Amino acid sequence: MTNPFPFPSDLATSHYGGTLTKYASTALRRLHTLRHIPLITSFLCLFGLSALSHAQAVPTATRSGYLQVGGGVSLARPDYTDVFDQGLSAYVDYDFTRHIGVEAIYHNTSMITPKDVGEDTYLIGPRYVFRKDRFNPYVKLLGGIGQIKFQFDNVPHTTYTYSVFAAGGGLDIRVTNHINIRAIDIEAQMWPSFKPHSLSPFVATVGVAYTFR
Amino acid sequence: MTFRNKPAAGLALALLVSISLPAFAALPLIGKKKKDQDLLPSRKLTAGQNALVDKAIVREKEVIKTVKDRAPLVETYIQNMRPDPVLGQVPESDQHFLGRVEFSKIIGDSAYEVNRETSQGTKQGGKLSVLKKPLSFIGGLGGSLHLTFHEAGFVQMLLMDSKEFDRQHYQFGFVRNDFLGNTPTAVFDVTPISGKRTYGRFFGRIWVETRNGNVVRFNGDFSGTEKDHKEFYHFDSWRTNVQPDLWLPTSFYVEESDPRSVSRTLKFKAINHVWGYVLKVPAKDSENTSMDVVGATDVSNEAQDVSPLGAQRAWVQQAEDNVVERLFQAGLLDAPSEFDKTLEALAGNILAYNNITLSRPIRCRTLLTEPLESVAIGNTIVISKGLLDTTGVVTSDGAQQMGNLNAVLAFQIAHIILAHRLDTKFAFNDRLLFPTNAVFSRIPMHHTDADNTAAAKKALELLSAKELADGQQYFGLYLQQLQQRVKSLKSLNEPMIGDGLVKSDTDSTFWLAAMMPKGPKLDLKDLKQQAAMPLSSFLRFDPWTDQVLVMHSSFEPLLSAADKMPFEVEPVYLKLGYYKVPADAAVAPATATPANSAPPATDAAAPASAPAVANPVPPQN
Repeated sequence: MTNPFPFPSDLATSHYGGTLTKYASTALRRLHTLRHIPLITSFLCLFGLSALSHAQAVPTATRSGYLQVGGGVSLARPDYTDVFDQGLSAYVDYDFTRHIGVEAIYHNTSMITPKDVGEDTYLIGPRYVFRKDRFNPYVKLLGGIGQIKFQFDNVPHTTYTYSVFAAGGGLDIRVTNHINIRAIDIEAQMWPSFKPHSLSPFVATVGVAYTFR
Repeated sequence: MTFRNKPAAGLALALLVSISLPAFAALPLIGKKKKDQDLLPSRKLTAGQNALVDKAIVREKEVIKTVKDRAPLVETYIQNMRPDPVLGQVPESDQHFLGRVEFSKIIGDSAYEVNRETSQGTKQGGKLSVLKKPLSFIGGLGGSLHLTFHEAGFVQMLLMDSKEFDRQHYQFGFVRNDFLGNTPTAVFDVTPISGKRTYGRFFGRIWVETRNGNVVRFNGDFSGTEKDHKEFYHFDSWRTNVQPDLWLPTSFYVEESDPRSVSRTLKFKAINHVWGYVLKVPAKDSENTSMDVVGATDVSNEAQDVSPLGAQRAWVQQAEDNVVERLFQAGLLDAPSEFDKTLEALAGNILAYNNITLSRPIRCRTLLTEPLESVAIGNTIVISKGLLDTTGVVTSDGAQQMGNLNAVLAFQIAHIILAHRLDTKFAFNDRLLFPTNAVFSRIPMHHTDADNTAAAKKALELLSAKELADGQQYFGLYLQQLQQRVKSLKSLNEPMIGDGLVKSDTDSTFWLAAMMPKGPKLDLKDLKQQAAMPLSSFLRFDPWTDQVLVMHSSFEPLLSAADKMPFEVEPVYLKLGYYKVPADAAVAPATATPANSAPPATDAAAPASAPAVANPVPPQN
């Protein structure tokens, strides 16, 4: 099969030194952000201390967090094509309060690609869990990188990397003390730097996880 | 300051702010709680009841101040439960804390350091232990994800609110008048005032004695539980009248049901004891303390030269006295009590029946903690309250309890006879200058495995005297019962300072295992057979004087195997009464020097005069 899709215009340039100035500028912007860290930290300490100063009693039992490690199968609409890709996903959730935590998730949806275009993503970000008995619905905001993989027969396979943001949510159901079923997880992704226009893939996942408790 | 262009900083800020706030504060929009319902169905207060509540608030401030100044010890012993087809529920695991009250902004605690070599029979891990045992480190990391109990969370159950127990933060509703023991009380429901910040505030019922307005009991919970993440538990806290108009926290019971259990099993239960109020007396209180040493006799006129052997023995005794006194100061030993004399008489009998005379008499003291242990410090035998309670099986002739006590005493007498000497470094007083919570690591009194093996053998010899031989069956039965629970009650079997009944954490055989076949076969369904008692079943202590007292509880017949509850934690129910000045005020001097105030020794050569056989078991019904 020949490549029916044009390559994005800036892919080739990303390999040249001309982009160094762009990276340097990004690094400076990050440094500028770091300047605010002491201020932010002070602000947060104030919040934390304020909360503590009101405490009348400390809890009799606490847990440091909830950790679950899981995997599942995913179905992705890559947006580059309208045909669904399929693949596997792995995820780790660490909730450091009853409701607030972090999710890291890897979608490898370039395993079954009818149109020879696959997308893998490595995302991490905060999530908020609404715990209700054994049902744990959640919402999340993730950021990370995504790789688009062109796997056409007559040209060398190529992979290009972009920044990715995603908003999503889902439902975990506690089946036993240690096993959670991920009944559904939906992510609406945004690949803003993909040219000439951004991509907006969707990924749906079902899976199972082991919970450390 | 705008974070529009600084998404990373903004995100971090949002994240960390949300961590620093409790979940309910961060998410007011989700499922906004129903309007407060009528939580206080109790009647409005009359003028008299209002006055009593005002008095209770004032008196509570005095209690808080006293607890803060005197920093008593708090021991917490927790048993996690699981369902059992025969007994209903049995302990699945346990946990033990010992600490001293420490106030910062709110009530908390300073824990006693555990000496692992004593408690688990293993050497202390060095700095590289994490590298040497990576698997256990990973296991520990996983363990931190469990719901973990905190001692401070239990200690705070001494008080309803260590900061703001007042009408600005709580509302009161009258329930009824009631008697607790012979103390008349008025009962009020107490809830935090709605609209105020209620996290961590007391929510429950209080009993206020009507004479002076002291809170004598309260039960309830602290509000703000986030299930499965940060939990508060229900507790029932009792106080006793230790001094005129001073009711201080004494014991409290904590229990939580398992919501997932179809058989209504408990998730856990815990008993907490408080004592040692006089160990840290403010200077002004001790200014008028009499300098007379009660119980000591002036023998200066009989002074004579001391032989080298006499000097050696005096030196050992000095080390013994120093250690005993330091343990008393650390709040671990009871003040010399009448019950100790009974134990001394029993020890004297064992020696007499075996025709053994010691150079110095045996003294006995009680370790005020729950773990099952005993130790000989020179010629002073120390037995833990937990061991005395659980061996205190009530029978009409008292033979079972005496048989158990003889076995426990014989084990430590054997150490004395075999001259397993006390380290005389403790004769130097500087060896005893260390922080109190380091007492277990600074004064390790446990014997070596070789010494314990030899002592066990010798103890069996001592107990084979014809007057004592029949009693061996009872302790054999006790050990059979303990064997059933030893794996689930690890903390109860980990000694803190002396010798446990089991060899170590890894080897759960008993030092006196040879006695087990001598007992009848353990049968939990046989209601005539009681191998071991629940905790806190025989002794109680005065939290002010630290003296132990034998309980005089009414007889409760066993109706099923579930009533036996060997080694289990039970709820607290105290018969409260007003303070009475002791008839002879000198009988219980809390600050008496323990070494000098020990009662005169029983003459080991005269068993017939010992009172132990006549009345070893005080009347229980």
